Amino acid sequence: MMTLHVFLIFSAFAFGGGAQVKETWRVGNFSFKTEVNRRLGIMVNPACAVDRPSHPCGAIVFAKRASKKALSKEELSGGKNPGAVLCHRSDGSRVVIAEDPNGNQASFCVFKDGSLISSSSLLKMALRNDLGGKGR
Amino acid sequence: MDRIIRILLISFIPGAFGAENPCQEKQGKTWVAKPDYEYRLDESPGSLADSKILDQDGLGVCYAAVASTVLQSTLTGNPEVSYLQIALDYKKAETKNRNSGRLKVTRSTYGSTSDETLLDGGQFCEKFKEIKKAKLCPKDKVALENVEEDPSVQYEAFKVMGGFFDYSRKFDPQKRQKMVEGMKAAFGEMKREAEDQCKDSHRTLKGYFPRIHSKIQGRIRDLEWDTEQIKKRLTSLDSSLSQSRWRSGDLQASVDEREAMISQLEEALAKDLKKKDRRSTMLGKLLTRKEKLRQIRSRMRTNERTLDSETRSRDQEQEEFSDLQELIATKEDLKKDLYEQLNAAETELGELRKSDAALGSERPSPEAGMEGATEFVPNPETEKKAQKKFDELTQVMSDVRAEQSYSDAAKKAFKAAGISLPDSALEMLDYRGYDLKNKALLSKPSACFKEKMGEWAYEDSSRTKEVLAENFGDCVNVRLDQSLKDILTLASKLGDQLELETLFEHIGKDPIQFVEKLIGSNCTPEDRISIPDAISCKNVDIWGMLQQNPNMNREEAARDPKFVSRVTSKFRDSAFSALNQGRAAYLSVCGDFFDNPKADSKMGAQCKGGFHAVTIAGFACKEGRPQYLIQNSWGYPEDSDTGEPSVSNGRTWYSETSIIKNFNSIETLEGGAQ
Repeated sequence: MMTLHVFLIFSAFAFGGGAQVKETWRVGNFSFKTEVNRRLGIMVNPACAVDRPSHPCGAIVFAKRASKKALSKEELSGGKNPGAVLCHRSDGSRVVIAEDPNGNQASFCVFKDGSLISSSSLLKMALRNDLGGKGR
Repeated sequence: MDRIIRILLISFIPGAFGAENPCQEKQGKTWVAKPDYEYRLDESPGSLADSKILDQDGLGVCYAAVASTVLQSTLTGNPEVSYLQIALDYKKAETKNRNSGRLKVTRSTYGSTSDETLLDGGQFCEKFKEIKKAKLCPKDKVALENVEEDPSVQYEAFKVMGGFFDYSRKFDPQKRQKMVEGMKAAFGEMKREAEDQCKDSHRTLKGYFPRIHSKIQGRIRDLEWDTEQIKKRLTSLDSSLSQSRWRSGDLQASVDEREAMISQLEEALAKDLKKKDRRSTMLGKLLTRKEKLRQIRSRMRTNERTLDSETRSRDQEQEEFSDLQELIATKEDLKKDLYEQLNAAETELGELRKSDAALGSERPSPEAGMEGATEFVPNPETEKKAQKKFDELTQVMSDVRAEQSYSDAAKKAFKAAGISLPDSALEMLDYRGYDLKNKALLSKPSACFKEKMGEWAYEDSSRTKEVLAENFGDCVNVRLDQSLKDILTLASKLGDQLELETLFEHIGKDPIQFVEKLIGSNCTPEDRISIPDAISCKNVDIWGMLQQNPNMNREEAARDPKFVSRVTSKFRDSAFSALNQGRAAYLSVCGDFFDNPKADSKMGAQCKGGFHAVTIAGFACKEGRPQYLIQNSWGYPEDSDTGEPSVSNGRTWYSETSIIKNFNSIETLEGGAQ
């Protein structure tokens, strides 16, 4: 739990970043922010909202390789959140469920380097990858 | 008022149920689009105005998430019902009916097998009767649905529960009961051991009281004597200072007087010198009498002697004055020091008297004092074994080792016991007579709690449960399956109000019941939500309709315009019936639809991603085409292109055509007061 907090706090504050903050999410007693990476059209931690080729974000590296095709029907049974299922398949990541200020939930895939991506964005990237990058 | 507004809104829903396009009307011989409009339950005064978007994570519980939303829109007061509890009740009913391997959990190995939790997959109406029988819990009373806890625990927790379920299924009920009896017995032994140790530590702590009291009393006496002495010295110093200042003043005045006299003498001598010089010239000698000159010389000699004497006296007095000033400064410094010492001593005295008074109220009376004053005497034979168990349970030794010093450890212990002692009192404690165990017991009674220094007792806290889970097997010298350790750890995270013995009871009886108890531990009978008997569940599904057309398979049916029209008609009837009552509807569609709204799975015949249940929360006509407001349970949606959070209050509009192409079933609640 402490590690997770460190992840999120690190991801939320340490990187900084110049893009406009879009959303604030709450997990337990602390909060973190997400921004949109406009080039990819995905919701990530502020540091990953701007592409840095020399220091690629774990979340974006993972998302660029994700594939929904790799998931079997059984793995998705019961309407599991496909983005969360993709995240659970990775050894170096974990899903956290956060709430927006209105109490609506969203899950995020958090990586060892502190970066994170929303499950919706992860699914979007996986679908896009399955289409050979033509999804956008 | 809300009801009136809702009725007015409902009146906008087309009355034409069935096959006719509800968003078009006939004008003459042609069909034209009706004006665009929206009707949605998620905006005030709709029944889902307070509904939150859920994220079901990697759990296959979409059926329960939708059921929860449909119930929220249906039940009086629109309560948020725990969807995880619905899922558990559903599976409980399924187990009862089938008694099969449907609850089997397969650990995932990527690519080949699935990681299925015991909750995966279901249909709402199928088990509605059983869900109705269960008393449901509100969402805020179910630990797993509140992100205050470990936010990733939901999926992980169910994996643990699944692992435990697999494990417990290895045993028949008798064996399982035996296992639980063993665990209870072992736990009982540990608890007794811990309780004994708690009592010991309490006795040990109390044993310190007379010693501390005696030390404090001694220190108080010392300090009282010290303060008295300091005060005497201060009085004497004040008197001496006063005398020195008087003397200093006298000297100053005398020096000043002598300075004036010296000036006068020097002036007189200068004048006489001038006179003498003038009269000593040739002309002076002629004009001046000898006698006069002799008088001048004589006066000058007298004045010179006086001047010399006064100057010497002045110098002596000035030196004495300087010495005296130095002495006064020294005495002032000393006085300051003494006052500081006095303040420190008086402060310490105050603290010690306060501590001693607090300690005195807890100190055993002389009659009972023997027990209270008894120091813990280790029994070498049983000590080692007991110590190991206790240490493992409380991790107390590591805490002691982590302390900087024993006085820090003792300070912590006394603080834990609610006794505030000044550092000076703690430093006075002589630890040499005590063995490490006593200090260890004092340092942190993790498994104990105290109430106004009453008896310490074993505390069944989360932390204790966690430590217990970690050490259980080792402590009782049995090998525990990892799944049991995991479930105990989970219990420690979720079930603050659950006694471990209660958990064991549930493990022994019914694993599902155990899991239910575990996640709903904060839900009391008063919190429970009931579904009125009058409410029933109605479903329209492709499978059922195909039963009436046995010559057609699902794909063929999807290509048959008449069948599609019939499905569309039944779907609309159900959706409008629910929406007209202000209720949401349960919709099961092929999940491919959410990857690509243009997907056509031939009513699920070619579905690649499996079926997924979502909520219908509204209806709209847009450019003459019917659309439905869909609330998913995959978290707050994002715009598919920009990645920005989705507009439309977290719900998305989908065309009726797309829904029908991927349709599986629609399930609605009927009856009950509105």
